[in-house]
Amino acid sequence: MNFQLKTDQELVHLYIKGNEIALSNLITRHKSRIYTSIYLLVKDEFLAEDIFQDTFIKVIKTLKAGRYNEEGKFLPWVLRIGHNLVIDHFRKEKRSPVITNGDGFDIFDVLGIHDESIEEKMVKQQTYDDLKALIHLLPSEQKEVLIMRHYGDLSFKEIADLTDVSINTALGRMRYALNNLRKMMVSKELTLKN
Amino acid sequence: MIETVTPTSNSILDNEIDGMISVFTESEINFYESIKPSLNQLARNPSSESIQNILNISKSL
Repeated sequence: MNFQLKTDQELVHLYIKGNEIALSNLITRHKSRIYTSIYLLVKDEFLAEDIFQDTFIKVIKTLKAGRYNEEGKFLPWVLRIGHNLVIDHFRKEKRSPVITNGDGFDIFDVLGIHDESIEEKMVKQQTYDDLKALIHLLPSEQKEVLIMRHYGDLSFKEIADLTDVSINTALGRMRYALNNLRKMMVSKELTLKN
Repeated sequence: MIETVTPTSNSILDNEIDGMISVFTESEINFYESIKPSLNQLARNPSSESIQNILNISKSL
């Protein structure tokens, strides 16, 4: 059975029938979108790992209990669970996401570039660190939309449903996010070199 | 090990209705296009340990 060719819906049905490999494939397919969305909201890799696991434990329990009813919309459903768990976390902490620096993220691990000078690598790392810091300076509702749109690959309709606002509000928040990012990059003279 | 992942989104308005395209200015769309590669570089993956924990919990239920 070639699991990679199957849709999310087909994998969900296989998993509900007891096929554990189907779950493994669903996680592999969506892990980056889900984890990155959580990580950029909480900005703590250990907390993000915990929330990622809790998200899938909820997914598993819901699927095994036969309570899943969002056919064909697996990723938005999982992102909604993760998003709610992030909100729950900050409610318990009684605070909003904070801005911190230096979480051990090493951009060299993901760049895989070997023919650049150390100086060039350092400039790139600084650039990505700066961009990440700027994203965290955005108001939380703008940051949410940018993350869900870019990393979650959600439509604005799905983002609107998930955050309980109108599509126009979700679109407006994306515009503000982009314009605020651009203004901050100009003021900090940050140029992205890809 | 951290893997790189490139989100598949090709524009701000992928999968959206045409009427919404007027919401974003050309300048905003161009800016988003210009930062997308850098945004992609911020994508991360959970540890294999986390994934294994999830799979173990699934098998135990």
